Amino acid sequence: MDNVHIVTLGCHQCHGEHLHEVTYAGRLLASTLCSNCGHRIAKDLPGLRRAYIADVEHRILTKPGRMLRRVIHHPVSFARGLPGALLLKPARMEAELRVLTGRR
Amino acid sequence: MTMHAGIVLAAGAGTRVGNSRNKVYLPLGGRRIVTWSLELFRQVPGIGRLVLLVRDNDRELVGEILDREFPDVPVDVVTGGDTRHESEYRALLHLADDIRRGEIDIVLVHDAARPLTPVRVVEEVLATAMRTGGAIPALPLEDVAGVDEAGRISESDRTDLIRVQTPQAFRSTQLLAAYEAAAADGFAGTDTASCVERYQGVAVHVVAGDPRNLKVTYADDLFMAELMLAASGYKR
Repeated sequence: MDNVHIVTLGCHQCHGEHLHEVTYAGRLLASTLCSNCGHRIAKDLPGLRRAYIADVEHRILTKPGRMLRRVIHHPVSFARGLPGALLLKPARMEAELRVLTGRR
Repeated sequence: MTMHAGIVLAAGAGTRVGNSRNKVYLPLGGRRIVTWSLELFRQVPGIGRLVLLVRDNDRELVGEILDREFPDVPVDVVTGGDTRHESEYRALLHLADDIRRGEIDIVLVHDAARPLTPVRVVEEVLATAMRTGGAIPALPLEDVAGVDEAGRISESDRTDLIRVQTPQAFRSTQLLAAYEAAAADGFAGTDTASCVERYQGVAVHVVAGDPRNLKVTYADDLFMAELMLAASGYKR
């Protein structure tokens, strides 16, 4: 999953529906930013980091099972997507770390 | 054997600006919002058919999401229309043959943007619709007052107002007949219940909704939904 998504959401600050940038750290929601008024809602970084570490532990523990399910159900697409996923992993981790250090 | 069908509307009801993605494809607790909504129906015994209404240009993404997050359950992906009413009609046309053969008893219609609906709500609308023909979940609308033309609080009684939620459940034959009649009339209802009441005379019953059955509309709702999922151990 990408860590930044652009979607239309309502904004309590400026009212109406506007484009929002929704940012994630791994599987965790980190912040939303309204493109119309700049209103930002964000988790506090220390709390986000603690939750992220717990989530990464969970991701690591469940990864073999998730990979196995993908191999069983979609062996071809799994094999085809694996090299790309491995190549992209460092960039994804770096993007997650940027969110966790408040640089995004 | 008769079963029930669940229709999940993800065809983009509501405003979407520019090239933005439909919010129902946002991740939430490790899965997409739409997956949580489909999962709801999977957990209710008797719902043996799932139909997901999507935009044509979301089909590829939806295929990937279902492959990854909902691999063991067949889902019929159908292209929705420009309005909620049109999407519902297309879903019903998709199911029409099975409905006419008597294979589908109750049809439940659910907003994909409601990922946290408790199973209890689905079971209650389903049971009530089986008994009466139609049921919707709702909450009393509290803290509401009328205002007269002079800007003063009106004395009128507002206790009869409710906030309607989904899923809404209807007997399939009546729902299909209502939408076919509406199509013949050129009528497009704003909600499912009004169409069934208008064309089939079904008295739609209200069952207790749930405050947790929030519809992701505002940015804040995403944080609230994630908190609620975390509190439940990311399980339904």
